[in-house]
Amino acid sequence: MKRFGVILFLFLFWIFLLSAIVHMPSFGDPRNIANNYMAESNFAADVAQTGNNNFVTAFLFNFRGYDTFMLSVEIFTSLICVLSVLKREKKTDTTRLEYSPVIPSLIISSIAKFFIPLILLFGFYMVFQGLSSAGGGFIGGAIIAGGILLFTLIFGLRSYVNKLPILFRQHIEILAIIAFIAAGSLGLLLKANFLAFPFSVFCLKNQIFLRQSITVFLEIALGISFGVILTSMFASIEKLD
Amino acid sequence: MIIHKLIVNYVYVFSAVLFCIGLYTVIIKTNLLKKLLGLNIMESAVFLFIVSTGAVRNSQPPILTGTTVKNTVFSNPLPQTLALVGIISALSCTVLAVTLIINLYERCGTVNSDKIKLKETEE
Repeated sequence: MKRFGVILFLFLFWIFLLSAIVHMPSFGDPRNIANNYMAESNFAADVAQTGNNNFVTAFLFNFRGYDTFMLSVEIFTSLICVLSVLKREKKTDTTRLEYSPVIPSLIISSIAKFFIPLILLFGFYMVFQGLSSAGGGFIGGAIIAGGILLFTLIFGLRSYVNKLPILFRQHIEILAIIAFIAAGSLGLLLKANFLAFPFSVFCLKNQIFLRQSITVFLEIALGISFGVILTSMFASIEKLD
Repeated sequence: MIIHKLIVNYVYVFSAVLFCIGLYTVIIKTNLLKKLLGLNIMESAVFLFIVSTGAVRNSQPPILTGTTVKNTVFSNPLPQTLALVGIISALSCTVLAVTLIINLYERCGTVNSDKIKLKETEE
């Protein structure tokens, strides 16, 4: 009875949403409310000025630099929250999968051994690719984390802790924030503006190259630390007490 | 007229359907992890909606290539950036919620929200 009532309520809610959708501009319309003047104005020139070919990366690391900085802080804060509740894993910790009667067969482990390096390579490729085409630090970091998670699920938490010790991960996790603060302080020192482009005052040649190199530096730091943070969260959640 | 409009706006309609599915899961399911999954489905619906508002008909993806001519129409990258930021925030919230659910399981021995309420009233 409760279920029927909920379904009726949700159907009415859906009709309510549809009544709003009817009044919206049609899908793909350049006059859509999200494209107010940005779609008409040619902001390709602005993006080309930053040295990035990918618009999304250009927005994330140039026009919304503060936002991305705070995003990396947010991920790190969530890691701190997870670790403060669940504690880090120890070297002797195991997962529920390792107690499972179904052990990973030879086929699975050999296929994983073949594919995990390829997944990690693809992740790093995505991190570097963010400047020129579809890709970026967050996506690359997520793919790297996926590769490491596959490794952890098949070969166990113990081998994961052996490959990536906590002492090593501790330094990588903070890397994104350190990189952002370093790049921002450079702007603060040279131009009196946090996260501003620092070299526009004295170095007039190679502007585009310098912008690209700062973006790539931030991208690599963000990608690697995001990937490692995700795996640390997973290891902390996955362990058995 | 209305039907035609809904057919043209099919992405918005399906994101509304996805949102309702997520809301149904949040309301009906008693398992807290399933409730969290429903919340994630709702988030996906919102991201689908946001990204699809930035679509422009006959447009190129917002990436400059060597062959890009001058007045090319790009799809709007601003909603994509917004959705990317939202996805990362959603991920942080999901991880935190999973952590709290695990902690709750260790304390109460169950992740069923009804049984947790019963325990509260018994004590």
